[in-house]
Amino acid sequence: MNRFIEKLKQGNAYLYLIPCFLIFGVFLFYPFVKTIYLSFYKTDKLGQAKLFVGAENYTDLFTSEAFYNSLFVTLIFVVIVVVGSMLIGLIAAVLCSKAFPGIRFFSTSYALPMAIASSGAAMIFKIILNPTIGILNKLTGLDINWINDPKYALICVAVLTAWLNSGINFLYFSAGLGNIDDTIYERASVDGASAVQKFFRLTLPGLSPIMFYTLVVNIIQAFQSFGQVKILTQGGPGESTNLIVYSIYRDAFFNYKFGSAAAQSVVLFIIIMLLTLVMFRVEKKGVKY
Amino acid sequence: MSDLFLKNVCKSYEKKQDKAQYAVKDFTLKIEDGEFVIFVGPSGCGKSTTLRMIAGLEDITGGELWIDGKLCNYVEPGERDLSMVFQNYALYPNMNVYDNMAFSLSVRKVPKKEIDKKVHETAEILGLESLLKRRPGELSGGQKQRVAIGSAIMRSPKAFLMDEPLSNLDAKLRSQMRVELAKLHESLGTTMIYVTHDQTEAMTLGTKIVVMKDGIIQQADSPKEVYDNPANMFVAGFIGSPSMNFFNGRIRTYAGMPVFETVTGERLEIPGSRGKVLEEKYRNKWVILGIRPEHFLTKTDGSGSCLTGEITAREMLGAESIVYLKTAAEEAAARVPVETPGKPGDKLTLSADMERAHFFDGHTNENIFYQGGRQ
Repeated sequence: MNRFIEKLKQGNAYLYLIPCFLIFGVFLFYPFVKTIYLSFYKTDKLGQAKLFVGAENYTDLFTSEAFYNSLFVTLIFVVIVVVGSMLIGLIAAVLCSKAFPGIRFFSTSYALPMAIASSGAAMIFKIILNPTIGILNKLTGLDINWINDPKYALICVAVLTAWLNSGINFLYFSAGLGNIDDTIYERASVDGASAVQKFFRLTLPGLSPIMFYTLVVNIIQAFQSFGQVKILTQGGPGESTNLIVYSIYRDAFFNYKFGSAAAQSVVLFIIIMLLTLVMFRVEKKGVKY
Repeated sequence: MSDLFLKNVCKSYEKKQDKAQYAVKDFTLKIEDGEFVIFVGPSGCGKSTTLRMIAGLEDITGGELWIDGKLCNYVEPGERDLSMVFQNYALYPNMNVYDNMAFSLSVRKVPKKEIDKKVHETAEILGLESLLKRRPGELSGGQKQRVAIGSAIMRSPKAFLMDEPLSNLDAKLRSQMRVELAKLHESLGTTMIYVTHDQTEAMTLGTKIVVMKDGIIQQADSPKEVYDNPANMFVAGFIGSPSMNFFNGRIRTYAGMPVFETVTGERLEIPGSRGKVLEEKYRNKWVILGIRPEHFLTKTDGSGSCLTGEITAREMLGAESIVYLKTAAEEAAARVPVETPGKPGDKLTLSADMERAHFFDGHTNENIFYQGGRQ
């Protein structure tokens, strides 16, 4: 103990990192390593590694049609969610960048989805989308079984998620817009630029650094969406909303195939890591001023 | 190129008319084609607001703005055909110098070849050729300034509006750019409206100076007129550095001569016809005497226009010195030859050149002998 205090006094900086490393270690590094470890094993129902199988879990995955379906569904889901949530956030932020009466009310409303738990929102959407009592069918006069029709289920979950994620995007974009110097808009007005020209030639490029950051965060977030699928569709109908995270959950806690679930987690990790690396590479070329 | 006419232009940020506090009030000014007009005044006097109203960046609360014979109150900024240079340059950070300069033409769908030609021509005039590929973040203050001016002169607008364009530059660059701006005005011949609080810029650049205070024009005239013949005490005190010395006092007759008697009893003779007029109209009334620092003479001929005071400070400017005197009545600054003796604490007697002194009404602060109407 004395030596420990002595080292602290000497200013051994690594010691100060201990609390942080403890937390990271318990909640991040250990599960991470354990997941990789499990992905090479067959497990018992308690998730204990029982039989070393090498890469079998992986080969099983890559020969399984369900897994490819899961990847494909996730991909479509991510595209809809990212494009949707960024568009909603951007439009809301641009609308709220001008001062007008009631601006605070609108700002709060647009940022609010951020504060709603995804499962709570999913419960509400479940009622809205209900084919007999749901308000959506009532208002539109349609007769669609939104959640139980494979054509619409994925879109419904994706739109809900896009809306949920739009709140934080609204905040990011609002901050980004606030950073753009107002006088360049004034100069553009005098120079004769129209509102559309100002948006595409000044606002969008001005937002590009934050846009990139938002894109990365949104993609990662979209890949990890879980609550809304769990509540709204449970991966169905059929496999139409079986996102990879939900598939992991189902394999691990329904089918007790922890090995397979771990292998899928590793694949998901690699996909997100590669995407992020690619985006950072692109950012170095694209966003600069 | 064209002329501008502002008629009773007002600006108020208060919506209700009865509560209205005016940032600019009854601004009436005719700007002829090719003039270099300077709006000058202390901070918050409404000079920038007026410029922004001309540009269309602020709504005009009342009055009329005519550009080239066309009423422009409600014309969009982009359609007024004016160019503006902003205090912080307002360069587009995401575009390089070339695109910054080309912007105003490219949004008007001018053919690319024409833009290219024009950019290179302008860049050559301003020495920006080697910087065309750089972004604003990679430029120094002076270079940014040039780009801003270059972007403004790309089109041939009806007038250039400049909002304190040199205030972010250091002293040396500022005087350089001042000369270049004057040259530019001469070669382009375009009307320029220029806002500054720096009276050196106002005096050296302008063909007409508009001195403003609290949103109201105090005087609009040539630099020489504004300096030699100020309309009121504010203009007299604002233009000139160090500013004019003011003494409170009354007009009296002493030994048959009209004299100005300070509150502490010092007497200064007023020669010539002006003395007569003052004696006639202002005898025993409150008058403020204004004397510019350079109108104090160190030669005292013993005549009746001498002031004595104790030197409180002395500034050496190189070719001359400024001495600050504490006379019985007021503090005064005098511009004297370097060799004038005296250090802080010493007594110094100076004679005032009363021929060139100014007299202001004690109540209205107007120049009693002001000739020339306000615009």
